Amino acid sequence: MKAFIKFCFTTVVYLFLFVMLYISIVQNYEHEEVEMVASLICYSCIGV
Amino acid sequence: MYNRLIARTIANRWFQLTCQTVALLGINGHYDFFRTWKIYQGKLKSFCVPVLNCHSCPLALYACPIGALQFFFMTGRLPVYLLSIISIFGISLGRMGCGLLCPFGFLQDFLFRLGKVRIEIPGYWFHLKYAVLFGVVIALSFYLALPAFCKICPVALLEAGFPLAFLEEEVAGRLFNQSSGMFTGWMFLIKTFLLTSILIASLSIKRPFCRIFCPLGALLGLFNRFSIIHIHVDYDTCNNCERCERMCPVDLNITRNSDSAECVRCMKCTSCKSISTKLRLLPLPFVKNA
Repeated sequence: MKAFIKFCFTTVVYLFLFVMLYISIVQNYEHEEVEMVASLICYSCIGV
Repeated sequence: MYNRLIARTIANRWFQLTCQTVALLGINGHYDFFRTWKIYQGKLKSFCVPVLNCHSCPLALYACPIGALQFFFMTGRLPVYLLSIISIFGISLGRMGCGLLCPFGFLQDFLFRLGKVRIEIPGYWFHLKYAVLFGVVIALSFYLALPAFCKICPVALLEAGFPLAFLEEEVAGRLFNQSSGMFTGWMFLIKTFLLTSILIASLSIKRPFCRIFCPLGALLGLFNRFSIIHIHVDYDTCNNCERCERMCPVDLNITRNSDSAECVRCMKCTSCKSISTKLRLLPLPFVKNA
């Protein structure tokens, strides 16, 4: 019984976390800054 | 029983090798580059993978999480989107991306097998990666408004700097003063020195970059303590043979702390019957071996 409660508690906590993070990603995906990440080609790789 | 242990060790090694090869080819899967000679900038580049893979690499399909994080800090904005992606990977897998997916980790593992001399490094060196994360990636990028870590990142030099300097005249031209023709790419030379040092060190030290410098490893390591997939040690059957420590790619004795931030979750130690991969039952950090 104790293990089952632990399992349910964990599932709820992790599900909550994942839903929150998923909503955060979806809400921010169409944002201008995220599109700028895609165009993030700089010359820092050669140190200049 | 000993034969079974050897069979599981070989199976785990092949599993890791397969994951690393697939990840290397998948993350760097923009093979259209050889036809168009243009770096991919499509929809997938908005997404990060939990490995240090430079997004300026000619073959890269995804953004580097550290490079993208710095971009947000440079512009003074909170990287909610990126932190959410990193958190999802971290909460699910911990540092598994380092052990099974990272191309630079793959290279260091390969080089270590070639080396003959073995050197162990003191544990306090591992704290340096947190200084790199908070000092260089966050603070310096914010104050200087430039991607400070990318300027010194040896992975970026190997995956993007060298290929672009050889393939694109415009990039190579940036290393020289346009009017006088004098060489100005001193940071390029410093990065080359850093990269060479790390590659030479990898011949004798297990994964020196991942353990000492990698800011992404430092960030994902924070999730190891409560990630869903975790390493479970059965202390009733463990006879402290320390075989897990010898085969570990980061010299970690998993029996002392199975949730250590240094563990890269490569699963090699799970060839021992006392160590297994499990889904965590209780997400509270103070409960041991839940």
